[in-house]
Amino acid sequence: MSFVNYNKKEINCKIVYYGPGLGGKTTNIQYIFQKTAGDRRGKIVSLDSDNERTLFFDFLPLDLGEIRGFKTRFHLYTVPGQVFYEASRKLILRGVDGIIFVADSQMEKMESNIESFEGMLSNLKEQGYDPSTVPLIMQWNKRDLPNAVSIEELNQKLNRFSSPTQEAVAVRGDGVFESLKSLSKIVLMNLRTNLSSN
Amino acid sequence: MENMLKNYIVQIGADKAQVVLCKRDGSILFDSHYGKRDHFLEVMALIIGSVSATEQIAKTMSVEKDSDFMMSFANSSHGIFAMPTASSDNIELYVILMFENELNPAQFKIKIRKICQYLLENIKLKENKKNLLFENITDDEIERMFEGCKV
Ligand SMILES: Nc1nc2c(ncn2[C@@H]2O[C@H](COP(=O)(O)OP(=O)(O)O)[C@@H](O)[C@H]2O)c(=O)[nH]1
Ligand SMILES: [Mg+2]
Repeated sequence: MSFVNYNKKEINCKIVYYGPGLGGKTTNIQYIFQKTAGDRRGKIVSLDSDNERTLFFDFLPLDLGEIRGFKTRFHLYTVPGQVFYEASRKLILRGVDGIIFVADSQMEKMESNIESFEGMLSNLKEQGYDPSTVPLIMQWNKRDLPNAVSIEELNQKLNRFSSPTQEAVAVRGDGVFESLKSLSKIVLMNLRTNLSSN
Repeated sequence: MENMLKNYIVQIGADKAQVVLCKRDGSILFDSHYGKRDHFLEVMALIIGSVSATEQIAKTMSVEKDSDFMMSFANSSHGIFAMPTASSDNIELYVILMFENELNPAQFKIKIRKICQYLLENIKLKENKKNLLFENITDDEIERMFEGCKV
């Protein structure tokens, strides 16, 4: 969406947490919600099922501080992970400015990580993006689990574009803000506008 | 754009409803600042999600050629209408209209159609985005941007 309003000196960006089901996407934004002052964030909107699986999306609006005189607002979305929600994931990727791919480090999740990543690439292409140019952070989540594969393996199997990476234990909050900060920087430096229009 | 649309809304008497114009990715381009404002962004994310999903359903029913689709969730006095449309230079948009305590909601169905038509005929949105807004952002600047929102 990356919507820059010169009159109000305001920037709006859409950030999507993408990845396989149960990888920790919702946990990421729940942690951000908990650690953000009440006047700086909205409510988490969650469209989920009884067992807390995301059905359509989670959404959290986040008002950050200023950067070079511009107020910055991030619209954080998560996609539903289950395979059969492909149509929802496509919709949520519309107008995305940056993606945090939350990979589940567990050995038995490698297949679903790869499948999800491939799905993301084809969904982005369908929306008219060149996936290699979309700001992307690879978050290696669940580093606390004993069955986590090595970072080398994750990089080799998933990090197609040599994107910046971040190890995380989202349930403890480790790596959560770090991921968002790294992505913010890339997203903000990618903002394009027509300066002469105002 | 903002003033033109504002005037048009008053002109057709749609100013007794909340009118929001957004792109299909969810970015809000215009908001008439009418009525309840609690959790505005959250409500918008939900509505835009519902309209996109509804529109997608219509497409799988292969009726997308019928351009006159409107999403409606309303009773005889309160409700939401939303309609896909576009600007005259083909930027795809949704118009959302919300009303409360209204004796004649059906009038808003006509009005939202008028607004869509107005956008198609009169509003250009395409920007030639060629300049980078920021260069060389430092880690310190990012830290400071996040600093203010910590608990
Ligand atoms: N051990 C461990 N569990 C995690 C971690 N992050 C998330 N979880 C758990 O994984 C499950 C699924 O997380 P959720 O955020 O709902 O996944 P989503 O489907 O990607 O939204 C939950 O039970 C979380 O508590 C982590 O870093 N380590
Ligand atoms: Mg979830």
